[in-house]
Order: sequence, then structure tokens, then C-alpha cells
Amino acid sequence: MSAALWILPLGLIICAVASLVLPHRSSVGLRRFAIVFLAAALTTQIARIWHGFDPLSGWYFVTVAVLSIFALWYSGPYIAREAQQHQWSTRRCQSYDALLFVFIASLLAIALWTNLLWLWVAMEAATFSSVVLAALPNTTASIEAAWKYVIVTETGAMFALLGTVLALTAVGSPLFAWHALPAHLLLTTARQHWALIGAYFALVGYGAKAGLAPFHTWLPDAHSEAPAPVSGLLSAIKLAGAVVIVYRLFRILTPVVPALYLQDALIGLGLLSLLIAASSLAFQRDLKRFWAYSSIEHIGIISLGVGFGGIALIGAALHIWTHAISKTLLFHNAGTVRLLYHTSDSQYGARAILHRTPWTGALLALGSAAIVGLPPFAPFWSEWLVLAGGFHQVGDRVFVAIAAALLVVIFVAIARRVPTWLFSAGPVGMPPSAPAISEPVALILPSVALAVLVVIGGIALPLVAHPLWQHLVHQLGSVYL
Amino acid sequence: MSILGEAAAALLWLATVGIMVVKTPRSVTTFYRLQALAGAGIAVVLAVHGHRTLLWVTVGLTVIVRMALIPEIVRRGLITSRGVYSAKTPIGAGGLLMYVLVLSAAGILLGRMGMPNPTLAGLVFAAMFVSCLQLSARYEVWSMLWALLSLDTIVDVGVVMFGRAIPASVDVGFYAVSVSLALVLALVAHRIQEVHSTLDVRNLEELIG
Repeated sequence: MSAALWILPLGLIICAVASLVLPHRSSVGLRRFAIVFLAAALTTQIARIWHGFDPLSGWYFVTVAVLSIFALWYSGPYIAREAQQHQWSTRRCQSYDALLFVFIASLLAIALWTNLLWLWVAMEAATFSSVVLAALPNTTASIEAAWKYVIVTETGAMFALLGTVLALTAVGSPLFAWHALPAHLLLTTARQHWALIGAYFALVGYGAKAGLAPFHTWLPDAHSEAPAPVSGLLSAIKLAGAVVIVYRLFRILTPVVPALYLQDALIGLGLLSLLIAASSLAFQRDLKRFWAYSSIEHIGIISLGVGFGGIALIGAALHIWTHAISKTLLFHNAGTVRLLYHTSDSQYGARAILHRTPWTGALLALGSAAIVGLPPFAPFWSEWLVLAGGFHQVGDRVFVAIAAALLVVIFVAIARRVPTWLFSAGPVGMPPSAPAISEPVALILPSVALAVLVVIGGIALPLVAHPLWQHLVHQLGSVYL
Repeated sequence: MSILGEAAAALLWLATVGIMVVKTPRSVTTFYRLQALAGAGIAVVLAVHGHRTLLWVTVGLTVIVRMALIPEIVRRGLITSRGVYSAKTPIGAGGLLMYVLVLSAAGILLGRMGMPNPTLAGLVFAAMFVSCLQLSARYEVWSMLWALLSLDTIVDVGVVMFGRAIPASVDVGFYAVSVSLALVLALVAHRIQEVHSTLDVRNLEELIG
């Protein structure tokens, strides 16, 4: 276990250094090596040769490893085409590879490490690598998005660091055991206040990292301007990682801090995120921006699940996975749309996608059906668990009713907007039956594999990873913050 | 904690208010350097009184990176943005000062909620709140960057000060990480300047995403 804590992130850091030092032609080999490396780690983890700190850590690691493999796979054809279309230099392609490896390494660290100070460092590494990745296209919009991203999330980072140190210093937890409290701890009222203030600071800080409303302003820009594989990882994994860190901190603090305050804060931010998503989704014209707002909705659902606790917490853990696979598919799909149509804006030509590019259109339809929570897709079950878990708590029923109403509004917004990209007649100025566009197999294949995972794997994963899932349910089923 | 610590914290707060209300590039750079000096002063007090000799590394890092490197990078990188920096909001500098007063009072009160050094803690919180106000009230690259760098300095002072349960070696490690991040931030701002002569994101559509 302790070796895995360092070996996995370190392996990818070595790949990052190699991609900068070795000639560009070795980039394919490096990506394949990283995929095999991650697959080996995943297999040995599922076979229980090694295990994470706790079941949640193992569960999140599986999500990170699987989605990173897809990001690396899709990056090959995506960046090759992007470089061709926008004249990327060899150096820029190498920088992309190196930064992607660092980004994945930091996400693995978030999954594996438990000390809250190291988790802060891992989150910072993820932020800075993804900020530079978002700026890599070097357009005015992408640089501006990176700027907003760094300003808002770095403010959050400051709050998160100060909050973590305040809270854990208040409860007197020694540094190298900052994943548990000393037994039989009794605090004075003043120290309890400090622990609570620290917890709120940390929630604001990591809330900004997670894109929870009202700290979400950076998210739509960063997600829409970053290269598609990066957008996928950002939305699917990094956002949820920040909530996982908050959960870890709150779990340490709840024996000494009134849990209700922390639960209510998470539920409040979750509902606000749903509200922002519900009021913004219907007006988006850009496909990537559209899914970015949807990410705010889903991180809100995860926050609600953690806040409700019990069955809803299991739902939140499952939702990390179900949202991740569906949203990665959709961001990769949006990236393909942008490459093939030279835009993902429905007003500027990304229309009639089902007719002109049938594979891309079908994947968009499938991903959309999954992400809105239609049964039998996996997000339906995880959202159902979150709502049912909340309903189980008598005091939270009003919040569940509000959340359910907002989810219906979001469902309607997505159901109304997606057909604009799929079915509307061709771009303005072109005949209604615009010509078909050739879809390169290399671009489509990773998304088709993801779609198979969305259809089958989303529901079957708890069976595939049976012991891990059972362990998770056993541990979290009775947890209330 | 000695009177020197409290004086340094007061200087930290004054410099933060200065960064928020001053209008000329030269004075904002000076105030940032003063703020770093105050941070170094608090670290010196902690090193001497707490017998944590490793904190002298923090003092050294502050002097080299915060006082020398970062102001120079920002000064060179954002040379054409200088003109847009001023208290141009409708409420003006008077309004800003009123907000500063309220936030400072809130910070000082917070420091009195059971902290071991209430005055010092209160001043650090007050400075932090003022810096946050600058971050949210101003949207020009130039002022936001200074606000964030200033917040970074204050939080680092807070972490060094409050985290006394942390071994000094780890404290210094985290300080080094944080200072490196501030350096990267200054460099990113420099990069932005290559594509934008200024970056004003105050327009509503941009803010709501």
C-alpha cells in the first residue's frame, strides 16, 4: 500500500519528463506505456494484491485509472488532428503530453493519499497542470479561460489550506496522522469554533476547486476551452476529487464539530449548484459549454449525497463513477464535433450532426440519454440512491423535493437543447441536406469503447468489482457526517 | 508573542489596504514588498520565540522570491496594463475604505474567538478579508494579480502562525510550495500579457460564464 502511494504518481511523472526529453516520435510509445502501467495498477487493485487506504479511496482510484486510460487513448488521434488543423509545434505537442501525465499523476495522488496536507499539494499540482493545458491552444479565449481558472481556484486553494490547517490544529491532530483524530478527544468550545471555522474555510476553498456554485464562474470557460481529453478529466475526476477531500476532512472533524452544520453547508451548495445549472443549461449554444454546466449539476448531486449521508453517500460514491464515464464520453464526443465541424456552437455550423456524422451523432444521443438519468443507464441508479437516501432523513425531505424539481427542469433543458445539435437543418447558408463528413476511425473508436462501458459497464461495475463495492456499501451505508 | 509580532501583523494589514486603494504601479509594488517584509517579520518572531530555527528558510524565501523576484516579473510582464489600475468603481475609494473598515472589524472579532494571540490573529484575518474584497471587486488583470499574490502572502503567514502543531520542516516545505505557486502565477500573468494588452472581465456575460 505505502509503495503504491508513491509508485503510481511517480511512474507518470517519469513519463512526463521522458516526453519532454525524448524525441516527439516516442510520444505514442510513452502513451501506450502509461496505459499499460495504469491497466496493471488497476488489475492488481481489483485482484486485491494491494488496496487503497479505505474503500472510497479504492473506488475513486478505479475511476481515475479507467478514465485516464481513455483520456490517453483519445489524446493520440485528437492531438494529432488538432496539431494539424491549428499548426501546433512539436514542442507544444510534447508539452501537452508532459502536462497530461502530470495531471493524471496528481489525480492518482488525490485518490491514493490521505494526509490532508499532501492532498492539498496534489490538488494544486492538478490545478496548475490543467491551467496550463487549458491555455495550450493559445487562443485569446483559451488564455482568458486559463486566467479565470487560476484566479478563482487559487483563491480557493488559499482558503482550503488555511481552513485545513486551522481545523486540524484546533483539534490537535498530529501532522502525520492527519487522516484520523486522537481517540476520546474532548475540545473546549473555543477550539470547536475554530475547527468549525476551519471546516467552512476548507469547504469554500475546495468548493471553488469542485466548481460548486457560487464558486463555479471559472468552470464553463475552462471546460470549453481546454483540449477535449483534458475537459473530460477535469469534469469527470478533478471536480469529484475536491468533494472527496472535503468528505475526508469532515469525517475527521465530525466527532468534535456539530455534524449538522457541515451537512447543511454541503446540501446548500449542492442545491445552489443545481439551481445554477437549471437556469443556465437551456441557453447554451456551445456543446462543450453545455456539458460544462451539466458538470456543475452533477457535482451538486455528489455534494447533496455527501450531505445527506447513509444510502445517499453510497449514491454519491456511485455517482462519481457513473457521471465520470458518461461525461467523459460526452466531452470526447464534443471534441470530435469541434474537430470535424471546426466549431461546437450550434449557431456556427454544429448542426444536423446525426445526419452528417452518424457515429458522432449516435454517441451524442446515447451520452445525453445517460447523463440526464434515464433508466437503465447507471446515472439513474446513482441519482435515485442520492434522492432516496435524502428522503430517508425526515429533516431533509424539503431539500430532496427541491432537488428533484430542479433535476426535472435540467432534464427538460437537456431534452430541448440536444436535438438542436442532432437534428436541426444544416448550417445557415448551406442546403438543408448538408454533405456528410468523414469520421476517422481513430477518433471514434475510443468513444465507442466508452459508450459500451456506459451501456454495460456502468451498471455491471459493482458486479465486476464485487468485493470493493460490497466493502464500500458496508462502510458507507451507516455513515452520516 | 512579542510586540514586534503585533507590529508586523499591523504592517501586513496596512500594506494589504494600501495594495487595494493605491493607484500608481510604483506604490502598489512598494506596498507588496512591505507586505512581504511584514510576513518575514512574523516568521522571524516565530523563529526566535518558538525556537524554530528552520523558519529562517521561510524568511530567506520571502526576501528573495516575494520581495525581489515576483514584483520584478509582474512589473516587466504587465507593463502596458499599468494604466488601467485605479479605483474606478462607482463607489470610489471612499466606499472601498468603508468596506475595508467593516471587514477589518470582522477579522479582528474573529481573532478574539479563542485564538492564543487574538490581536495578531485578528489582524491577519482582517488582511485576508480585505484581500478577498479586492479579488472580488476588481477584475483588471493588474489588480486581481496583486490581490491574489497578496492573499497568498497572508495565507502563508497564517499557516506558519496557526499551524504550530506542524513540524518546522514541513511548514517550510509547504511555504516553499506556496511561494513556487505564486511565482508560477506571476509567470502565467506575464504569458497572458503576450496575448492581451489588458484583460478586463468586468462585463456581465463574462462573469456569469
